[in-house]
Amino acid sequence: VTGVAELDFFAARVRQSASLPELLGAGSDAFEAIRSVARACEDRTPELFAAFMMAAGTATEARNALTGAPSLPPGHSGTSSPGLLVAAAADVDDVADELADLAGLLARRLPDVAAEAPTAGDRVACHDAALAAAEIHQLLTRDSGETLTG
Amino acid sequence: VRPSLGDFLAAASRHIDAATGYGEPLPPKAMRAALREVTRLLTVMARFASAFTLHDQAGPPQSLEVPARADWDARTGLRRAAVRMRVAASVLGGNDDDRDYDHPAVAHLTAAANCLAAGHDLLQTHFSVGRFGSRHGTSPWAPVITSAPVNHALLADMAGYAHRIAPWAIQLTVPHPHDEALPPPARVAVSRACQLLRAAEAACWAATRYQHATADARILLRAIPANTAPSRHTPGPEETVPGLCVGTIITAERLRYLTRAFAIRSHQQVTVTGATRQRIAQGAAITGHCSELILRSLAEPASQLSNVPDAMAALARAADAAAQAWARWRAAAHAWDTFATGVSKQLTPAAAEIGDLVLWVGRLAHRDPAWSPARRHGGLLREPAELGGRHDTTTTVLVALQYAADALADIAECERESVRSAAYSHGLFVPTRLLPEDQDVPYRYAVAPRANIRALLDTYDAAVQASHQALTALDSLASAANSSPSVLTALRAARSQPMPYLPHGDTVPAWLRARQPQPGKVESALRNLAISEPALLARASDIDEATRHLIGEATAITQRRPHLAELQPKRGAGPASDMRGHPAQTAAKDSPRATGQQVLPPNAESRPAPNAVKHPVSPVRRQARPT
Repeated sequence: VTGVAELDFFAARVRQSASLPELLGAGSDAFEAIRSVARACEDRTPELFAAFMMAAGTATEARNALTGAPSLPPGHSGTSSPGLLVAAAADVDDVADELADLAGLLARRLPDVAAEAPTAGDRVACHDAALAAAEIHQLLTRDSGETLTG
Repeated sequence: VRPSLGDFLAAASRHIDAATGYGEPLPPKAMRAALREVTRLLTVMARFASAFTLHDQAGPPQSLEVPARADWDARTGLRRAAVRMRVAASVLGGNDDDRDYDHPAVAHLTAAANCLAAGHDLLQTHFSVGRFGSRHGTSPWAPVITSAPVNHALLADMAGYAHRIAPWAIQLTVPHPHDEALPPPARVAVSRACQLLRAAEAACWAATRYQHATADARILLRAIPANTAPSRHTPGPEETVPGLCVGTIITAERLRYLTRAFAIRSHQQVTVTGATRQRIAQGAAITGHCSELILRSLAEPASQLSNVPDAMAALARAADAAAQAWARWRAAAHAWDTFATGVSKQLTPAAAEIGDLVLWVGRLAHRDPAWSPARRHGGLLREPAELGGRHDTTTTVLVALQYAADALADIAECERESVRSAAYSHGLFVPTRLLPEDQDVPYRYAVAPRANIRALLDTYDAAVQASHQALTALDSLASAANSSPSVLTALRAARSQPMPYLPHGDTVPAWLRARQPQPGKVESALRNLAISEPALLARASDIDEATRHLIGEATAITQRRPHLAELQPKRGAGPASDMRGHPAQTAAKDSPRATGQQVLPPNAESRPAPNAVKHPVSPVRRQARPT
């Protein structure tokens, strides 16, 4: 298990979320997954230590921002998600790419939903989380010229 | 860059040299103006020399040790010289029309006095001034300022000025033909003032003979900065290694200042968010990680340190200690993945800017001049020859790492205290979405389990300890690589003293000192517990002040109730007369008598009224205190 394939599960949930509460829940779980995988990769290579460390911290902030959204049902998510284990043989560059893609997806989806959110609390939470997702994407992407708009 | 005391002392010295080196005799109008400005200069010198001494200035120190006694004599000599010079100036009266303040010599005297006054004010920024002029230290430099060696170094500077001023000022007493510039009483007073200046200089010289490490004290004295944050400094695109070192030092000092300043104010109902704590911890971890990379690089054969066996061993220890420290900081950052403190998004100033330190140290470690924590910049390390190829560059790099480590150790202590405070005030929570599925709490956050809090506090304890070990290892390395200690090393040695408390202001008259109130009960309790931390003392003082306000307000409310006087029993009316006016008794009068209970004031436990109905009173009720 590389930990990469499992991230597709979270990406699919984010893509398929039809309602605001669904997306908030899927987003929160996706940020938690990014945090968990980034933490597991911090020690893999000194060159990427700072990038993974900051990505994990930013993912925590984003997850907490969505946790505070009024439309997110309180309590446990109730959604079973796969365990995230990063194998010792996993290519850290591939993992970073996958995390950057997931963060990029979140950075694109959350602003769309934020614009239609009924309450200011939801809009602020989605906005903050989207900014954090963009930051994670910038931290982990290989390409510096890539934009997240559209 | 912050101004330092050395800037003002050097400027004052230059102006005194210029004034006293003026070769020609002064014209009468300039002479009268010069007398006025010398008086001001001596007054500032005397005040400066005495302002930051710990012992009472009213009498000689109890200790008969030569340095302390001689220092006291020197200060007294300066004060008395200033008084005599004021006498001379008063003889001339207050008419400014017959004075020439534009004369070059006079202008230099004015500038010298201004420089010293500014230097005095600079030192004063390290103290907070209470009512009636009491002061207590609020910065890590405060114990340095009041330490005997640095105080003596300051006094020695004043004595050095006196050495130059006295022979010049005595010329003012020489009568010139057809000249009525100074009347005889003024000349006598000036002459006496010059004698006292000589005596002060001699006493200071005697004290210097018995003082040790005066060179270090002089370096420290000149390095004392204004107690203000250095300007924010972010790295540019093409910084050199020395430039990166300077930026690291400035940013480390700024972060230390911001952290301390926030800690002193933090009791004012400020919630420090989990994001703040995590950013600080991860910034410290990445900075420590880059420091370790630099230290390992300095161990390469190309480094100048490779020729110094002691330095190589110290280098290995410093790198290992740095690795331990950043691992502890990383553990602290990980801990905040599952904690939250509130919904606020505001970051503390230090958390908002710790990324600057990451950039400075990161660019010192990496070859990419635009390095950042982002993946696309996480490339090659700097060549060992760039960091350790020249001895002076190596020394500069080590000093920069020392400053960074020192700031992080300071921040670690502040963070630990802040986290402890949050834990004890039940301000730590966990998101319920992260709890196991069998713990379905219908809220977004739950109070953090006690075991998790204990683990968090242990993590910070470990971070503090490891940060200090990393700093100690860097100190050893610096001393092995370079024989002269840095200002930071000397500062750390000096500030092991407790935070000073100066009970009197330097300009407070004696009659006012006698009226100075004692610290309040809470502040006294803390002082009795040997607490000298400015943040805690300021907090205690605020509580005392709030208590005084509350009692004052309550008293005013009580006094606005005219009927209350009628309810109070007359003095000596009965056994319970000592309870008159007590709120509990007032309330008891409105209670139904059928209960048969009498509410006793707190101080009546041991002597109940004879006619009181006896009821067992539970210990809990007995301890209750009406407020």
